Amino acid sequence: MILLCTFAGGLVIGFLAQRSRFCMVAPMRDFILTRRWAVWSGVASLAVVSFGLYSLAIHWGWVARPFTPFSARLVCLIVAASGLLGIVSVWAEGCPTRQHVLAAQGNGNARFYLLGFYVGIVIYLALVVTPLSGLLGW
Amino acid sequence: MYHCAILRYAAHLLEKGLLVQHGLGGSIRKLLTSLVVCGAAIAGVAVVLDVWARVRPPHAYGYCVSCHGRDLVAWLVNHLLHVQWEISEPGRYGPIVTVAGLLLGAFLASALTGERRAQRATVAWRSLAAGALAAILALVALGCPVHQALLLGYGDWLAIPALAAFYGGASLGTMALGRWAERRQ
Repeated sequence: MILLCTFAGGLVIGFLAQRSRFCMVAPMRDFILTRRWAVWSGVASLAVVSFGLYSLAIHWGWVARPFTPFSARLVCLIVAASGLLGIVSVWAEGCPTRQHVLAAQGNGNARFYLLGFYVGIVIYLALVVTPLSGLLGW
Repeated sequence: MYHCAILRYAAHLLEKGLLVQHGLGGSIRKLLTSLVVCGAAIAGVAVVLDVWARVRPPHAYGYCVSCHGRDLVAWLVNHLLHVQWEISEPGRYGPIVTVAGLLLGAFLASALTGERRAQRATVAWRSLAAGALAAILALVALGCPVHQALLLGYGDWLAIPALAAFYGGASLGTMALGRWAERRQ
């Protein structure tokens, strides 16, 4: 069940992301380089529609209201990692979703990015996750 | 490629035979290539997977390239090598194959429209390093940027510093690359 649902969801997103060239980092890059606002429409619609749908789901009791306790260490870590992710995404010319789409389109650089991406996941699981849990006290 | 040619011909027949005949070709193409529609569709699919297909916890887990990739890798490794690598709760019930669907969906779309072209890698090592770094950083920072935006929609306050830092980093990176390109000229 979970296999079929996630595969179908990925298929729809992959199809539309290829047709519309959806990317999370392109709006900021294009805004700085060309002062164009229009590319923000994808990110804005993603945030607005997910806000609307989650508000309805919370209102009808399908999902619980989010609650995340404050932890200064966690916020610092997330801000540092997310900032570096922004720099790396500009350096790689696309966010992870866009790189998957480009690799499926036949782009050689994106194929190497994907290879590095899954090697990075293995490195994270084998070497990073245990010290990280210790640092955050999980 | 042969299979791409077949897919393109199928798309051509579909367009000429059905869509253009009813005057729908242009509007459907506009809808499919619209960024607003794509963003809304990602949000819709993610919420449906999260709420209805029970791809949770963690919060707003319907779509995340890095976390779902991590779950797929961990599921494969745990089953093949009988180890206990970290995996999310829905990942234990079966393989989460969003990334495989994403790749196939993008492949079909590019093959149907003739945009699929094999291009050689020009900066292979740079892409490899960027991919590895991006995976590790995304897994530390709540997930990929799309997941951060979904968390923002869900109402998790942690997504606000995460997305602000992501776009701050992106603007710094763009300016630094711009300066570097100017200097090289």
